Amino acid sequence: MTDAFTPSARTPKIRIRGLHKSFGGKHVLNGIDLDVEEGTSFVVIGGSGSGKSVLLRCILGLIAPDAGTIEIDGVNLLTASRSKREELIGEIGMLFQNAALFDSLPVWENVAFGLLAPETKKHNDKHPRLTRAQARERAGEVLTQVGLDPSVGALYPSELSGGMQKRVGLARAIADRPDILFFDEPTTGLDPIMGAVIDGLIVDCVKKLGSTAIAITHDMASAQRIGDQAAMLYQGRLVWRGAASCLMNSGNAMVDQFTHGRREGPITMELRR
Amino acid sequence: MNALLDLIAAIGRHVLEAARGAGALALFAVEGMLHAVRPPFYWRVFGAALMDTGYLSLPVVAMTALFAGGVIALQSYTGFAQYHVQSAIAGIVVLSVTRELGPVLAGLMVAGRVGAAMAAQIGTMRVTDQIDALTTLRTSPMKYLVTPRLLAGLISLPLLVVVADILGVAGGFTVSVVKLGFAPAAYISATINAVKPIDITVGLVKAAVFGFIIALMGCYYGYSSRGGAEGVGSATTSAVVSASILVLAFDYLLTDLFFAQ
Repeated sequence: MTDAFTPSARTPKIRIRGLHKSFGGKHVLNGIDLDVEEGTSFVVIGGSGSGKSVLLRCILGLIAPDAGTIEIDGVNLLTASRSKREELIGEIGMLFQNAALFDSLPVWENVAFGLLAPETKKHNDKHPRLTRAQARERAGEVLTQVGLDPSVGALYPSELSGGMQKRVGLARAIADRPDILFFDEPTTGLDPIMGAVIDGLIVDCVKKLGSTAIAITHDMASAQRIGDQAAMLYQGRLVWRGAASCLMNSGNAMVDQFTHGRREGPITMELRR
Repeated sequence: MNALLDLIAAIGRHVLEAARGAGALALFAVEGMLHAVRPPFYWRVFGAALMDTGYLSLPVVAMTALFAGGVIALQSYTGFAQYHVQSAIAGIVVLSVTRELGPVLAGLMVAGRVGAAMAAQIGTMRVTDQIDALTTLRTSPMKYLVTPRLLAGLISLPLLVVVADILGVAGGFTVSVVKLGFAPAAYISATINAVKPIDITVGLVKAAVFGFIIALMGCYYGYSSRGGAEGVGSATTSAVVSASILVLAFDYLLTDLFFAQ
């Protein structure tokens, strides 16, 4: 197995060093160091409030970190020019926890939104400029790829089940063939079968696109299905990293407590009274 | 002594908070309008906002103006009859409607209907991560959500006020002729003689300002909302209340600016 933090000769696709973020005096990220190699599916596990979503949002530029560096392809996003930063972040597709579909737009426009965005990066062979008709056709193809009939494109998000919304969210994330894919709790709120289906689709999409993926989850079955490598976040620090297949017998007391759902152990739950 | 210091500190905190809020609102407005002069433009979103703010507000604004014109005619008659100056009613109706009631009533109606809808829609998008999703899809949320709505407010309210002016005067005319027994030709003639282009122009300028304020408050509170359904509800209330108060405050300021001399 490859340790996710071992410096390699190649520049990692994503490199994070010394990432700190606090909200009102509460340290949510407390010095994160992380390398994700190109083509790797990396899973970050951790309890609610451990900072998993904040980590993804920092990489996406949705939250400004207090300190540290975030590099994509060796370019520090935090010091790069605006256009370079937008170009790099534009290569990231994101599946949000609750899909975050635009409820005022039909499904096909949700899927094709990034393809039609006039602010999009320079058009090239990989990202050609599309007409609305072409974008709708592409949306149909991607919907098929995630196991939905293209006719679903005419519906609105409110007409879909939770599982279908997740599929549409996945279709939107992959429609522009991104180099990097982020998945925020991809199976939350789904029944186990639908969760497995979504995980399968994620694995297929990542393989087909050859993308680098980061998923955050506290669903152990999902983590093992999606991930090649994994790390555990606790109190704003990465306390373990290793192969995702080792999650259930990691030899780390914190990971063991978390993955087996034990009440007793080194992890203490903060209760607000 | 400590109680006094606490009181001063509390007042200071509120003043600072208000100043911070006003500054944030001003920056939000400037950023929203800067996007209006920098491509790309979201014409479809602008069209939809124009339709929602303007066309779909037409019935409520039209009905309000129609009845308001009628009420002014009736109330004026009651008072003016005591001094035998009923002939001034046509002038009172047209000036009240074009200078004040048209823009103010349209503004308040649109604030309730559109300002609330903008705050609720954008607020819901905020708390359901849709605004973050826009960013990940290489779309500026300010450019996509805010700028088209600000422009729609700026443009549609004057158009609504043109309709409100016509129907307000028509309401006064109908009541005066049908109920109070005025001669139609004399009433129309008195109306035309009373109104000047500046009255209509200032009403339309007021409407543009009100439209911008309403859209700005709806977008600002929606965009800033936090904390789920309660946050969206609170944002909606704040948007309508603040827009209504600002409409009336700016009505006074603009009236003072244009007509005080």
